[in-house]
Amino acid sequence: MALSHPNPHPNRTHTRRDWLGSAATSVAAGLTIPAFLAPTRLHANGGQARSNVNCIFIWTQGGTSHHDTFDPKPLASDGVRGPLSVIETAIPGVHFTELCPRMAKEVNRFSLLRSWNPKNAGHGVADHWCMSGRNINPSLIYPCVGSVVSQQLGFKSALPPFVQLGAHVDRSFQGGLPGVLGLEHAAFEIHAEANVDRFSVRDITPPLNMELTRIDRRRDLLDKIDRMQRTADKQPAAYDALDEHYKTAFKMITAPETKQAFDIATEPEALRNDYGRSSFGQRLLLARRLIQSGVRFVTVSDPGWDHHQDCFNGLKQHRMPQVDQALPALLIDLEQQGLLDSTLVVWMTDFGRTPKINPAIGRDHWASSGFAIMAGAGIPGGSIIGDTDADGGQPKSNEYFTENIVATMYHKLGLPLDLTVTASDGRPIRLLEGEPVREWV
Amino acid sequence: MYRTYPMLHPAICLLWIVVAMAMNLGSLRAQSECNLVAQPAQVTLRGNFAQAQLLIQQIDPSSAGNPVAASELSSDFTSQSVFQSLTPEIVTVSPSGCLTAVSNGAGKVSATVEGKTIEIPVEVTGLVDAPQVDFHRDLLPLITRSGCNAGSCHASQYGKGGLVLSVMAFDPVLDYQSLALGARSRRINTINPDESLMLKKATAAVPHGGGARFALDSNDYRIMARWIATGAPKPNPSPEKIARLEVSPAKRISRVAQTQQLRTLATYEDGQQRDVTAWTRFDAMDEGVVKVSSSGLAQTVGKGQGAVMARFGDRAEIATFVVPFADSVNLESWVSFQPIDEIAKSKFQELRLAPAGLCDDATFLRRAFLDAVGALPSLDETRAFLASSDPRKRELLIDRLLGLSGDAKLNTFNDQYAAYWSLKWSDLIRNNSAVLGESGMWALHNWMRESFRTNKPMGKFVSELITAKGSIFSNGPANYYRIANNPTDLAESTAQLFLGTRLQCAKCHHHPYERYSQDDYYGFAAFFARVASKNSAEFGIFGGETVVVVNSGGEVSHPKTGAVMKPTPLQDNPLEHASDRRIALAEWLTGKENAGFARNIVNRYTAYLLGRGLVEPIDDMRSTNPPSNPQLMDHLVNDFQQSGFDVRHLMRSIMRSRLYQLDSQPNELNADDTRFYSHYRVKRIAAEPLLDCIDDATMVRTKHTNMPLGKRAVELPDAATNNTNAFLVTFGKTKRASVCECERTADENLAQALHTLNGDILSSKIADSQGRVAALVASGKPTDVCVEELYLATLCRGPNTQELAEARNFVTSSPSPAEGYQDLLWALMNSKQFLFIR
Repeated sequence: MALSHPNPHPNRTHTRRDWLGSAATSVAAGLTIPAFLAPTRLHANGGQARSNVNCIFIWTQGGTSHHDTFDPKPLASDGVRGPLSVIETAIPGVHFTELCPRMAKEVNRFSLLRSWNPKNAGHGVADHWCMSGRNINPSLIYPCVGSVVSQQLGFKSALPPFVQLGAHVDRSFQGGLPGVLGLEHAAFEIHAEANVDRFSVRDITPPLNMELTRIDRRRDLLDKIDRMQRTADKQPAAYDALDEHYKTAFKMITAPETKQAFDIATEPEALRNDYGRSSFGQRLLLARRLIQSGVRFVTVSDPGWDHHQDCFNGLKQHRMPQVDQALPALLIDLEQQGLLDSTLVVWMTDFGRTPKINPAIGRDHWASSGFAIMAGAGIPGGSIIGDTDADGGQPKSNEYFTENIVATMYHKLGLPLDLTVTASDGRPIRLLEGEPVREWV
Repeated sequence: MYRTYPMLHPAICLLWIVVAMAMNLGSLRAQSECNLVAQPAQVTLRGNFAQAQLLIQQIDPSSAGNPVAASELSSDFTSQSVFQSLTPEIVTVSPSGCLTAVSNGAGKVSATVEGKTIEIPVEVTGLVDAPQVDFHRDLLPLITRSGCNAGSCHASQYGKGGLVLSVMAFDPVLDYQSLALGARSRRINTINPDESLMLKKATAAVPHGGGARFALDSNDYRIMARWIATGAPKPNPSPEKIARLEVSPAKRISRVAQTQQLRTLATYEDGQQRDVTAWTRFDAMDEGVVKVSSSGLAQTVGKGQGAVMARFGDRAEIATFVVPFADSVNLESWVSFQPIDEIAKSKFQELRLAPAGLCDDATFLRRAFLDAVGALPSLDETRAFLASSDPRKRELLIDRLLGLSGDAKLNTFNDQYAAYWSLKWSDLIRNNSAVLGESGMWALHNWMRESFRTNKPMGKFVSELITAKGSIFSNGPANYYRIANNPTDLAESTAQLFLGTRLQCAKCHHHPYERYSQDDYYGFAAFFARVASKNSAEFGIFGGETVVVVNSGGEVSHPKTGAVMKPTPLQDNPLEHASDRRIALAEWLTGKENAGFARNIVNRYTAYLLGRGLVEPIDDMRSTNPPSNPQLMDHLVNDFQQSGFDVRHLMRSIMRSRLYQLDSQPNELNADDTRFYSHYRVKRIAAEPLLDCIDDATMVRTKHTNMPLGKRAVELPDAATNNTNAFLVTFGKTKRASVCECERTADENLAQALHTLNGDILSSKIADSQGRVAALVASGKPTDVCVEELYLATLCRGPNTQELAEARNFVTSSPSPAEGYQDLLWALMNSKQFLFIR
């Protein structure tokens, strides 16, 4: 922590609201949220942000087993190898398990890191660390990448810059949250099931089937009531900030791109099927639609990967098929839509799982190896980085840590690696320490 | 220059007087006489590398005979002066007025401002042919001053370019090893000092990521080169300690766009004094008011009050700058209700800041209810208050809300008060069943409710927490030792909660803005060294029980020296206690000698009620972060101590004040003020009371998880279960993860706006068949009456004529009366007068 920064401003406790208030009058409606960020934006010497790259961040909560997916050890002993067979991929000599047939076929569309060392085997901590690049620190909550994007780059359309699909991020150690950046930069969370015909989103789809005309009428009335309450030209700065949020909210509720983004039913049937008619598949498709509609960072969360028991059946029957179906579909779809170069796709999970299979036919938490996948935004497809030892327990070469993966995301998203923000109490906070994965930049 | 400082030219001086009088500038600049003085009037430089800063001041004639006023009101001409050494063989002087010793003897320098010259005698002594450079006293300050050991440079986690230094030189041994021995001693060249890597880097003679830090011909270069030439001597194991650091001027009343050179003086424990301006780090703490250069030249840039922090060695002090908001202010209409109003008035006078007028009765009623008990008044309550013509009705209401009316029948808000303040303190103390279990959470909650219901003195409340032991299921406060369960966490949270001091920095290094070192940190932690817990192995209702015990042994040791730390209050003498060190801590904490405790509580309650603490952030109290109005703080602290730490008394003192009852509408003259309470600072209603307000306004209660219907949100005891409520989560109900007040952030966000504008929770409540609108429609009352009721239920006031007409018009033109009233209620609940305490 940069505690000795020369400029502490401890007396200057402008809240974000104050900033907003002062910025509000001078900037056009709808685009104003990030205006007050000018003092911190691109503060560090990382150059201009390449703001045209967006991100879809897949989070399989619980800890996806690397042994049983992308790093099989067919020569290991029975108690390690497990019952799953091994298949060829499109790259000679690279093998996955039988659970990943489509990923094996499309291996040239993404890059696989086999030598990730998570240095952690706790849920919750993992969500915070993997999404922010920082271990937990009770006196300082570091922001996740999506919140940093929201703070640094702001709105691109009526839709918020950072959206999380599904509720499957563990918040117990502030995982996936904006931390020091403030609630303003929290993900806009959409928990609704996407694998349905009529998709509605809480707080965005009008409640109680309300007609748009009535929403308009309410807005006009609110305008009038607010105006009558206002007795002078000047008003407290906090009111201006609220006005801005209300404007943005109304715009979001009524903007055509909002309706369009969520109208997943307009996708061709064949494409919806290619993603797979699963929660995960349709969320991934929704993520692409959101990116197209101006969202910068979408977290797609998926539950149920903590396979302490019945690991192989659990993966085979429930979890892995939908990802194996949907992720390649997304990469193909992005390419066909011309979005691949401007969309970074990341798949992370809590950590790896134990080499040894436990008596409940499960694998437990494993702190020193695991996998990560990246694609798009110039990530070289088909590159397999690093490897692990005979039991898959320790990285053997090209070892990388969580901060390296997160630094790669910063780099690809155009965020300076030494980005420093000012906390609400005036402390300068360097958000990240670490270099990107060399093979990915 | 000529135009800015015209008083030195007689003709323009006259013109200035006319202008000044026309502008009613008062005495600040209207001077006919030019009494220029130097500070210090004569200088003694001791030792080879001694330097000293001169200040050239013009004393304000209005301050004649008053040294405080003379210091505060003087004008600084240091940066406009032309300095010249009349004896360059003895002393040199830089263009900014910094003296450097050359040889022993008596010398003289002159300073000339606009034709007027004064001379300053300088005595140089103690110069020797072979000077020694003290690592601690001479070298480290220059390294710190040059920024080498800033957190973003060589003191970052892994250093920079292979060189690792300690943050702000808190670890001289490490610094010595890095500089003298590190990298196989390649940073120093004792044979040919000028070839030393550290000098070539610092002067950018070789590429240096940090650029040039000082010049080849500078005093700092000479010091560093001499240290190397003498064989890079080690740090003295028991270095001279600094007893005191002074900045002058300590306070200056100024105008915008004025400069002021600062000067710092260190007094060592042996009484020796030394001008250390050249090695002091200056930082502006409020750049909207005053900026400062690295050499200590401050410049006022805005109105208000700001400070410059000066750091040297392990000391930090501040210089305060006051820049009045206007040329004059008329405070004749200010009638003080309470002693604090008089103090506030003096501040308004000093800052020439025009306060707002008093708020109206309806605004006061709603404000007082929300601030004191976190709820809206009932409709009957509102009508009765607005109708009352009792001139003391505000005071009576405050007394009733705080249970101080003296009549049990009138003190009907006691439970609401206890619930609301338990919520506030539960957030800080972090009551959470995820950590404590259901039983522990309830035990702590019930103890807290009882404490606030009976108005337990704050000192007793805190003592009970700190000295608690026994079962966490049956003794509520014992849970304090489960929430944080090791000496360092307990030290940090106790210091932050009850002293408002953030000790965290000192865990690893000397606090950069404070006196606190690792000694202070681990000495404080030692109070908690003997607390332990025993876990029950039972199942059933006492399963998971923990008993907090105090062992007879257990110590905390210093992480660097390994020394066993004596339990020591911050910046005080060690304490002992025969049976339980925590008792000694509690006695010290809440004792008469320690004002820090009362200051912290006063500051928190000032912030809760007035919207901003006298010190901000409210839990970051330290000498370098002074109160915006020190007299106001002192008065409240004194009063709070006298009352025996009676919080209700404290709240009453503030709420009865004129300051608290000012309007929130800013005017042209005070809109820029965010610190001095010139108008009431509006606050968003926090998540729980807001949900209760919505429930009251719609007459539809929220059913909370694991609670019977009818429990209000402010009564919820737990962080874990009520985080399942979408409304509370969206509006920032705290997770109780941190003792920091900042956990409950004040910012609103888009999700909140969407939630109230378009959310199903609000819409369903408005449209509920058992709700207020349904009842109104069923009652068949006239439209005007219904509109009035909706206004009273939300804004605690009736509509004005225009509002009534507009609402009537809207309802009658709606598709149905029900829809009309629903939309009206919706709009009122989304209006600012509803969402804010104002």
